Parts: sequence; structure tokens; C-alpha cells
Amino acid sequence: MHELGITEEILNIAITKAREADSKKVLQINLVIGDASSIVGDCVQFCFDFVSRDTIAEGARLNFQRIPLQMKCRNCGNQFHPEKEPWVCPQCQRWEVDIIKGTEFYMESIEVD
Amino acid sequence: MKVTVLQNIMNANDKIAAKNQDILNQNKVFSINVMSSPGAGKTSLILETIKQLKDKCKICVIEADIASTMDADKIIKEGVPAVQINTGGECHTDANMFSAALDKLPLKEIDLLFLENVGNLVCPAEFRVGTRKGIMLLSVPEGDDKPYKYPLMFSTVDAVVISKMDYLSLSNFNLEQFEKTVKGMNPDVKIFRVSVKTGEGVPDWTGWLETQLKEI
Repeated sequence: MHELGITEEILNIAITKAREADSKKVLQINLVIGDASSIVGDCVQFCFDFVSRDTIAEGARLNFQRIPLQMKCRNCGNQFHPEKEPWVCPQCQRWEVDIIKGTEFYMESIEVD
Repeated sequence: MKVTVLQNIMNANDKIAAKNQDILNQNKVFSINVMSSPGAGKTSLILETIKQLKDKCKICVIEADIASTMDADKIIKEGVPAVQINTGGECHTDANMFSAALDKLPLKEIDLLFLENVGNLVCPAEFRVGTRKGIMLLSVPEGDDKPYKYPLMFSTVDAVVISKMDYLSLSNFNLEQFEKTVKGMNPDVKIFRVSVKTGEGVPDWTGWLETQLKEI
């Protein structure tokens, strides 16, 4: 459970960017999270509602865009979204795959007033 | 109005981690972040390593736990300095906590520094702290299916120590399948089969550490 520390960082980034844009209120925060990340969106919103009190981001809504896990086989180059066994290539059955998408965790944009 | 941000949430942590790494490199300290689930044998492996290497190099340990100084006390008993970090409920050590612990150490005098992270296979994998290497232990009683459940940890470490090898005959743990899965996720990973109880594999592990120490 490290959502609290991460949420404080989200709040810092959002407030800094809002001030840079001379805005007085953060309305929405758009986050991109890969499916390989262990971050739980509901927990982040829950923490956010606490840590953002009395700041310009109080009451802001957090939107999460999830990026599905995407793998690439080192043997045959096949790219796939894993279903049951994520570490086996469905085309050549080799256990030689890398994650190429799904570990992202960044703030894409904010909506400000 | 929409404001584009495109900023990594872990940026602040990663910046401190990079600074920690610079400080350790300047002082020629070889550092290792030791991770595993609770009870996999991190402290036992570190204690055994101290026994084997303490006459060859100067070792220091940073112990991170949610609470207590039990692990640090065990290390100090072996005549090696230890600093205890209590994370106060946090599930991992972040770069900032590691930085605060480094401030308390005479880095110029240290050759080998262990960070024993909080027992957890999830969160420590997401927080870089700035050590030269990251390793994990997976003990035989935990089972060979763990790479599927904690892929981020298994795919990002430099070495996996299969600990408690003395339990192998009592379990269904499939060593070949496990190693194949881990190598599939992480082709450059080093794998050690170790039991600190019987001494199996300990020379391989300490030999690897000694090679790393020479390279720094």
C-alpha cells in the first residue's frame, strides 16, 4: 500500500502545473497507468480526497486510463496481449517474452479553471 | 482549459535515487537492494555473507522494516555496523529514506552495502533507491508459481537467489521450470541455488559478490 505517497506526488505535480498556467482551480487530473503497475485507482482517489483538502486541487476528479499489458516474443517477434499465461508466446510457445507496454505511470494532463 | 503535463509520477523518487547512486559511486561502495517476501531468508543470507566476507571487505547493512530493530541487532552482533530504517507503515523503502540512511554512514570506509528492504514482492519493485544492483530471494516453500504473480519484481532484478534449497526434497517445487520462467522474463538474470543451513550454493553467491566488488 503505497498509494498515499504516490498521491502526494500527483497532487504536487498537478498544483505546480496549474500554477504555471496561472489557474486557480484544478478540476480533473488525467493519469495513465499500465496494467503491470500495482497502483489501485480507487485507493488513489480516496487518498487524494484527503491530501488535496484546502488546496487548489480540492475536489478534483482523477481519471485513469489503463494501458493493457503488451508483450513481444524475443524469438519470433510476435506481439500479443497476454491472456492466461502472460510469459509464453502464443505463436511459437517459447518462454522468451518482454513487456513492451503496460508499465507506464504518468500524468497526461490536467483540466484547470 | 486543458494543460498538457506528460510527467512521470515516479520522477521525484527517481531523481533522488540517481543522486544516491552518484554518492555511492563516488565513494566506491558496491550496494545491493535485497528484496523478497517476508520470511524468505534475507537476513539469514546477509548474515551468512557477512561470515564469509567480513575479513575480505568492509560491510555495512541498512535494515528497513515497518517496525522494530530486531534485524539490525542481529547484524550488529556479527560485528558489522547496521542502520535501521523504520518505514512507519510504508510497504517499501523509497529513495528518500535510503538517502537519509546513507547520511548516517561513513561511506568512504564501506566496500559492500546491503539494503534489506521491507518484506514484500510488490511495492519495492516500483521504487528505485539508487543501489548498484537489485536482487531478490524466492524461498522453496513459497512455491515455483511466484514469477507469474509478481512479474515486475522478477523481470527487473539483477539476480534471483532461490533460498532454503534444503526444503527441496519436501516440496513439489520444479526448479527447471522455475528457472526457465524467470530467464524467459529476464534473460540476463543470474540465478543462485542457496541454502545457508547446509551451505549449498553459498560460494557461488559470495563469488559473484566478490567479482562485483572488484569491478567497482
